Amino acid sequence: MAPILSVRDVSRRFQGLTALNGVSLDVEESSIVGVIGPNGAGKTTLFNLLTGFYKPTSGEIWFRGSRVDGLPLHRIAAAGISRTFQNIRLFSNMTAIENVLVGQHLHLQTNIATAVLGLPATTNAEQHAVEVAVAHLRFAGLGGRENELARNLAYGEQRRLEIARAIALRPKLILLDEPTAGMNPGESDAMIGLIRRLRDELGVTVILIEHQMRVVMGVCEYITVLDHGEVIAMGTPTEVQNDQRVIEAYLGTGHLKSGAAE
Amino acid sequence: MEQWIQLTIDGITLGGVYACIALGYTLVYGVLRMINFAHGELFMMGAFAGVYTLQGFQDHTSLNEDLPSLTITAAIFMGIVVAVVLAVLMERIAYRPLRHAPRLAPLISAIGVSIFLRNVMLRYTNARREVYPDVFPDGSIEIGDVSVSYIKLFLIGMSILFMVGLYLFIQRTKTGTAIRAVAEDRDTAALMGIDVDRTIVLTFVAGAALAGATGVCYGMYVGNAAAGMGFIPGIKAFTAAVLGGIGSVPGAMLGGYFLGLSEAYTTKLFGAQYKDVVAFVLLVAVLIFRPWGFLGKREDRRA
Amino acid sequence: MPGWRQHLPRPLTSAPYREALARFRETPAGANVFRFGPYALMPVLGAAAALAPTFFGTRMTFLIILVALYVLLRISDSLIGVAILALTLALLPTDMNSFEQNIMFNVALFTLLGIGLNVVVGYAGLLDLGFVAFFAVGAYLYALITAPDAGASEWAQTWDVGLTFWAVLPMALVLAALIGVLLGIPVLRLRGDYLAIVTLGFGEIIRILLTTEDYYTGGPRGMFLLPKPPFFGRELDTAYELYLVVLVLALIAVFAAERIRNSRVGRAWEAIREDEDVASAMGIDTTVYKLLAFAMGAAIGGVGGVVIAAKQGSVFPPDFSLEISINVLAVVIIGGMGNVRGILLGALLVIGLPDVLRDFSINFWAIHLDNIGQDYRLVIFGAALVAVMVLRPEGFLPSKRRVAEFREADLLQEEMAT
Repeated sequence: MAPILSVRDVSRRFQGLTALNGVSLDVEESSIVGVIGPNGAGKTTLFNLLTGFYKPTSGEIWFRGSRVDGLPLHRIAAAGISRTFQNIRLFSNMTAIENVLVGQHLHLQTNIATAVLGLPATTNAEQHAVEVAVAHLRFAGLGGRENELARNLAYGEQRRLEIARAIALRPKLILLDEPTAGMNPGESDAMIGLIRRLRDELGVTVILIEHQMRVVMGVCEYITVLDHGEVIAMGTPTEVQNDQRVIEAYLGTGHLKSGAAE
Repeated sequence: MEQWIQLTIDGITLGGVYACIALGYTLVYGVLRMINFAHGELFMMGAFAGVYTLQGFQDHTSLNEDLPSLTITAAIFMGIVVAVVLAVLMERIAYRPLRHAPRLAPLISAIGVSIFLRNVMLRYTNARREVYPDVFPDGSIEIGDVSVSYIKLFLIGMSILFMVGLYLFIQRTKTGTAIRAVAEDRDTAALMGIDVDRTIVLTFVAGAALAGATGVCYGMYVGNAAAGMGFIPGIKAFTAAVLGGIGSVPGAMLGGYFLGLSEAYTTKLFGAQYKDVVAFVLLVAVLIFRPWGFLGKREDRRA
Repeated sequence: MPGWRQHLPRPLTSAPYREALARFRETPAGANVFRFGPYALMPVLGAAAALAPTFFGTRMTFLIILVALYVLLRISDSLIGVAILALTLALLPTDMNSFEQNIMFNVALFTLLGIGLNVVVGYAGLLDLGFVAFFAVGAYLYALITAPDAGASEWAQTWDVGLTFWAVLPMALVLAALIGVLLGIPVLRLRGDYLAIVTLGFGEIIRILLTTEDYYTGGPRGMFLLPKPPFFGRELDTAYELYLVVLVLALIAVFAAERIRNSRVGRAWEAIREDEDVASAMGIDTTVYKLLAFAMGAAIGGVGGVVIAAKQGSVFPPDFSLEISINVLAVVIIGGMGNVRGILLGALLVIGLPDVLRDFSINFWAIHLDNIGQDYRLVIFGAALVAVMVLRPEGFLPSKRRVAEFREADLLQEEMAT
């Protein structure tokens, strides 16, 4: 079976600084893939390339049989890739449910004329959108928090709201940038459960950047290790854990096997 | 041919003025990523400070005839002082509280400051022009068939002097280095021990000093000061800053002269009524085709 | 003198009063007062505002109107409230003299313009400083294609189109929107601050072109003797009748703007205002939506222009100066950005009050200022823009969070819980 996402020899340079160098990566449909590596290895840059925030300096990105690199952000979203952000970027002055409703943008048809006329069809569609949004919030464990302003939510809730907003796009691939950053072990476990349900219940392919090895090893089926902008290892968690180059890359910053790196 | 040379000289004269004002926009934009809409009003207030100083000398002494170099220097000095004081006040009152507000807030606040200053002067002067006393020697230099008045040469010379001064200040002094560091990356600069608040104030001060001094020289050149005189040159200087690449000091200078020359030639080619249109057309054109200007840096969006 | 403040009467918002109020609210009687009190208050306030001109002088009248409307707007988020508000507004000027009626016309017109600019600035977060351009487009379109022979430009005399007010209205809407899109395309891809300057320049350019292109516009001589709107065989020519026309247009605009805000389109605008890149990553084509906001604001501005041309019966280039743009901006900002309800209040404060206080003087100690409303309005607006941004960015009438959407969500939850 052809991979859902195929990154082919992608590089990205910023004014002489090479953030990513010849990265290639295939992701199978309905898998959970982890991207790990020391700080500054180029993980978030990779996400920014996949979602169109940056354009690659060279190389190609193929998603579900079509080339997506260089497309504007909203076209990539429409193609079926959505994401969360390392430094949470919610619409902070909008409520939880509004954030999710914005995520449904592509799946609603209302335009200025139909909004002004307020025909029954429009009202029903809006009603339905609200119901769907409530369901998404419940899925992410935010039932009952619909009317809270995003900025008033607790930190962990904000991370989950980002996920609820991301699945509202009905993506085929979802990119999670450090979903458990700053969480305690209990919260992390709940997040692991949510990530599994993304795949098991919604059938979404998941790629995540993660620093907590417990999370990575617990939830990912494949792992790609980046260091200095290059892929230094790929494989199952066990293979990666025993890879000599990976151990070297992590030496001094923490130990791979004994839990949280950095 | 003589006419074209004449136009070129006019363009350089005006261009120098635009460049000096544009530098203020570009410096403040560099450190705060904000357009200081009220910057043109600092130029206007400088011109008023100059005209009142010279009128004071005229009314109470005979220094304007005996020692014009002294009174002109004093006028320029007063222009700088007034503009600097106002700039510090506006930064403190209208901009600093909004440094972390949504991006629209400081912009609207700046527009408020601009409207306020312009209309205060409009009321103070009862919407009349204040005429500059005749201190500068009349006369002109003749080069072939082209004649250049002394005041024009003075304005060209002073604008170059101001720009060189500012350039050296930015490049050679410790404060200038701090300004450049804050413009590059405010957080890192703060980590390096640079007092960011103080640097931002100093940036306003540098831009204001230049605008105030230019205001006095320009006022002497046109012979009067008026409440509305900062508005159009302000927009044009902003255009010059964008043309050169906003945030870039040499870019602002280049943009200023480019705009001044374009305007001068437009007057000849299309008629004087279109000289205000050309700045706008250039602005839109550069925003479409090269939004980072002649010398600016391309900015990638950051995730 | 420490502690001198404690001798002052406590403000009604201070803690002891609030606690007492909260205790009262707990009791059954208190609960009813809170639930039905506002409805009882509404007709009283409405009547007070509507009767004020019969009994009081101009300044007092406007003070009463201002206070009554402020309270009405604060307590009303129901249909009844809107109905009473609309009725009050329609009845207000019947007993006014023509000076007061003209002020009310201006207030209504700037409410309409404010709603238009609010779509651009408040909803989508784009700063448009050249709003007057679209206003001018509407006004000159009216002058060009309704113009009689006398007082018209050469172009209008040659073609003598002779349409009526009601036909021009939708045409101005479309034309202004189109020009908005044409202007928006090159600049909306860029950062917001550039837009501010470009629109500012555009507003000035339009005025220059109106002066220079005299074949079409009559140049500085302007165009005059424009017809009034016909209405079932007669002409609407008093300030009051035209006030009613603007009022209806403004109400339509409020209605449309509110509905759009509560739809997918409004949410997309709000998302763009909050974080443009993320909005884009949510699948929103930000350029298209920004253009849409710009076009809608422009369209409303164009409609306003048609009305002013019909009201004045003439158009001259100086009528379309930067000051109009500043006034509309002040209406929007002082009323509270993004907040339609606040705009009415903003228009009363920014447009109505200075006219009422036209010849008001201050003589205090060494300060002698005459004609406050007429001469110092822009000084005050400038200071007010800064003050509102620094002290109270939400304006004088903070917007109530959209309630409807979430009530539905709440209902659904209850359903599921049972």
